[in-house]
Amino acid sequence: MSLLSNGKLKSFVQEYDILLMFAAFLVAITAITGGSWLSVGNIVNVVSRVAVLGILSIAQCAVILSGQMDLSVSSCLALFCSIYSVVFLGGYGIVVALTISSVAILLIGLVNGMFASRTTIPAFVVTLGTMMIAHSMHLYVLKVARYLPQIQNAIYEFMKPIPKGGELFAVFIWIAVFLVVSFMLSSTRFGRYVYAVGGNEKVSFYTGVPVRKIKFLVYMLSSALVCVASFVFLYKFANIAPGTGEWYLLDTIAAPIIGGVYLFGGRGKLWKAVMGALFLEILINFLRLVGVDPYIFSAIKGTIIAIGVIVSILLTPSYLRTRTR
Amino acid sequence: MELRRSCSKLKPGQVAISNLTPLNPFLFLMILLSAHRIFRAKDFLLKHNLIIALAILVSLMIVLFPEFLFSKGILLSFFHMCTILGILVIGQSIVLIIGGIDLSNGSIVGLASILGAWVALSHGVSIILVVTFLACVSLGTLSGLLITRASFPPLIATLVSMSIAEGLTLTVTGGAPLALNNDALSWFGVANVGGVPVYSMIWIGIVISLYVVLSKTVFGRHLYAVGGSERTSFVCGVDTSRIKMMAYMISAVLAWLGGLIYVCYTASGCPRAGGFLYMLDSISASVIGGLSLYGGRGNILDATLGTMFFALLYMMVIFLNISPVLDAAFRGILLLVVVLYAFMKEKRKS
Repeated sequence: MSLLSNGKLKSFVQEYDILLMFAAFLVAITAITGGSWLSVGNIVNVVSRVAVLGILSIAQCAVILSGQMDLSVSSCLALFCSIYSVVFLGGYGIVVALTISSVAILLIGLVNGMFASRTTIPAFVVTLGTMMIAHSMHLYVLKVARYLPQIQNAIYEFMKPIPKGGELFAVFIWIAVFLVVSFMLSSTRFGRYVYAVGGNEKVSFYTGVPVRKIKFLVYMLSSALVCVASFVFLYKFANIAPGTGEWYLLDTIAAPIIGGVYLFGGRGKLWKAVMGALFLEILINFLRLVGVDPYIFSAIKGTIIAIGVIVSILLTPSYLRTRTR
Repeated sequence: MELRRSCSKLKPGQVAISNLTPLNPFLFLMILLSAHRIFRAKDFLLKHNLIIALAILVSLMIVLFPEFLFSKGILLSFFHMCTILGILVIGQSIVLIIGGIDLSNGSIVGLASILGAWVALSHGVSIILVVTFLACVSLGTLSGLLITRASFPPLIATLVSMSIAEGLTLTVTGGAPLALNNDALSWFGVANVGGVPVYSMIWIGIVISLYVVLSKTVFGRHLYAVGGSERTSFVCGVDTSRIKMMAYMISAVLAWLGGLIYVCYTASGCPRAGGFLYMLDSISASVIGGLSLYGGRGNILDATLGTMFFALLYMMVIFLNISPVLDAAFRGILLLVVVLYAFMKEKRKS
């Protein structure tokens, strides 16, 4: 009773709502599937699958925390994979392939960052443009290369010697990325500036925060993380095809929202975005196990985003609620 | 020196009387007049930049490809490119005017097309209008409700209805396109009067009527008011929720119409008919047409000019034989250039 009267329980629920929902969800699906969900193989599969989405949503979460949005992450992933495979197949070795494809992605991040820091154009319009450019370039690279099956085979051959437990390598990279970025956001000056810019840009400008620089750096961070995610993607799936990675676009935005990160920046924790990604991926895995028509997944995800936003609006204290676009 | 400095600060309509020296009034007057002339020309260029760009583009097309002038097929395809996009642009413009954004219109085109074809095949053509209309308008209503009742940001609310539309679209036929064999629908898709398709006339009719509604009626003024400042218009007694709701519903209805025209033109329903590209293009064309992404500014006629500009640019891409794979990059670059241009213009004004 004292918990309730102090409002501690409420604030606890507000802080850890995603964790509670996640726990309830896990119990529910374990009960529904009768424990078949809990098999070691399935869990390893899900967790290593979610690594790519996890890294991408960490990138997206950092951008969202600074009050912006990056719609280009998924297309950049496709562009990275295609450039990497084509250069690698050209016989130039891993280092050259990694360098060239990373440079291409960082260039797109540069364009995003320049627009975000020099103009007041809404971030989602700019990144929508760069998304289309990256998508088209990805198709063009694959078209010019003209040897898709060879690419697929070569990637497969290259990735095959990975030992049995190698799947978990992706998870380790994911955890490492999470630790590094979460340290950056919570314990460095850069991180505090990101929260400040996302919370109130004008005030942080007047108090001397280098707003432009932070906005720029956040997009560069996002691009760098996309490079890591793409490498993990190639490692895990050993596959590149036209349209690869398109499906991540909605998920990367959905994951932070479901986790309860405030969409207009300044509030939210990185681990919540990661939990959101896990939640989403486990939900999809569960739907597959139960045998739901995969074509309806998109609608289900949309509904979940809606519920997530409603919950986060309900849980936001009224003095923090602002009407923003 | 003094004089020149004072003249350079002049703005149109502003007379710097304090700097008028009695020694050289004549010289001053001349400079003032010429400056005024220059400003006027610049004003004219800025105000009608879209028409000028259109004229340049058309003349460029005629110089490069003389057959552009005479071919009926080219006129037909020009109108075809304009129509569906143009109808979506009107809806997007209305949503942009109230300060929102609609990401779902492209997906609603896809839903209307596949649902229309499916209903026409399984239950006959007669109820196609009712069923597709209900499905599409309920999606628009959903975005409107989420925005007005649950205070969702428009971006997320329309993203939600977009993903629901995508899911339904794929579920109806399991992702497969449907071919139609119906004379009435096909007639509507190909009938034309002197190179102007019948469905394009619907588009032109909508443009004119909605232009009148937006500029001459109370509802239209309320749309601009809500876009200009939602709080102020609420305080002044405008039912802002109703206005916003209406805007999203109109956008959905227009997207529905676009989807049906797609069904008639291709005599098939395709889950990939709409989607991302239409949505992107509708935003870019509206912004080219001078609509502000922050709401409260612009009109439908200019947005329609923007659509025509867009369609002409695409025809040019096709004529120049640029790879279709690069099409999306072209659109993306165009979007960036356009928003950058609009931003520069705003900056110069303020």
